[in-house]
Amino acid sequence: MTVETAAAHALLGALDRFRVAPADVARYDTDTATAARALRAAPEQVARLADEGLPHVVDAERGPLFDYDDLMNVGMFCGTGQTVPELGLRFLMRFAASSRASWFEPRDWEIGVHPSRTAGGEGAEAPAAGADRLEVTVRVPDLSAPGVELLDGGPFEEPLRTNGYQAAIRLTGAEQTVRDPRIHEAWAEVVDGLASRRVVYQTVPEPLRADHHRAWDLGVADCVVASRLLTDRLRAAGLEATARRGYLLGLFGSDHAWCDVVEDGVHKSLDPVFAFVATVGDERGVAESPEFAAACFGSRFNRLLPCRTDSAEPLVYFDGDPAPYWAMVGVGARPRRTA
Amino acid sequence: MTAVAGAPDAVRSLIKGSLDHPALLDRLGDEDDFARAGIGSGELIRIALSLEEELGRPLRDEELLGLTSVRAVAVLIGAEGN
Repeated sequence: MTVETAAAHALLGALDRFRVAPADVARYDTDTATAARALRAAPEQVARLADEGLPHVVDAERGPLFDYDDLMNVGMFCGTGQTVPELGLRFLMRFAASSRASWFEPRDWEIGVHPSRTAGGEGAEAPAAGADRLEVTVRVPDLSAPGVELLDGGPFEEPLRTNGYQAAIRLTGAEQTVRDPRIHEAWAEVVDGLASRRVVYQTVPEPLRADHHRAWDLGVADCVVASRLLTDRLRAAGLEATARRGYLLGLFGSDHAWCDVVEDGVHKSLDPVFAFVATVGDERGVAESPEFAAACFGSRFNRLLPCRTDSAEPLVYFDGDPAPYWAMVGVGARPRRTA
Repeated sequence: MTAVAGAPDAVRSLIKGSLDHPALLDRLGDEDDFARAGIGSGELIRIALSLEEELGRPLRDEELLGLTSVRAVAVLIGAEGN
């Protein structure tokens, strides 16, 4: 296989643009070969990252081992436009450049949630030892959420299901606006925190997501952190709000979180990270769209499938613990085929 | 939709170059669904990028959603060439 390598200096340049995982939450278990594939880089370039300060441990057999979230952030911040994290965001957000009507119209999806048990993907020649003995549990779609209709699959009676599932689901969006000044105030605090760069939008390890106030204070946030923080602010202001988590559907299914607030008895979606990304546009390789950013404040998109969570908990577990980031490579999505 | 008699070697070669485990493609029929066959999101991303490079333009959202099989990739390339 031919590997086009990312520019060496670009990868190194990413190191001072994000904050590495704090040592107490980092999980150094990703080897150089896996890191090189994710970054579309040569193994030597990954070694340079280690030399230049990317935290790692050295295993006698496997060599340097990195935190996968740190690697995703190297990819996201290197600016080549060629790494998997950059490309993933660019492709998944391309729907924002489509017509406004296409964000909301009923859309039928086929979804397959079959998490990878191996960092190299299910096709790996050498699956991780014990991978076949892992108990994998996944969160099921929230069929009680507005705009979610099960067409095929299930039943989804319990919040968690063993192994995975296949389902066909109709998602119907809703174009809505927000009136309450308390919601405006909380929204502005979170979005402005990201837009001002006081808080860096980056991948955050799951244990730090669980402590979202610490993450925000450290100056890092992803969709889970931002949504949980926004939910806290709204509740503190006396509103009914819930941090939601599910899948952004597109070329594949991607873990995503947002916030649901009830105004005048109507559930409205608040997506501060989508709004931020659509506002900065080119900086993150996606089309700048003030119109889409505005829609993220109240509207519900037909691309977001909420799962059954209470407060944006993880979607996949291995033996009862949150699964590593790479497990999500096994989530597929496609428009439903009709006869 | 353009009819494709069989995915040409060039199409399979483009896909193969995007896979972490190229041997997967040998077990994949033209109509088989990528995701169900075990092709992960990172590989799908690289297939989409290779296709954009091949076509010389960004893929539209609906085209990205249709990238689900060898045949779908072949149709997209074939349609552009006609």
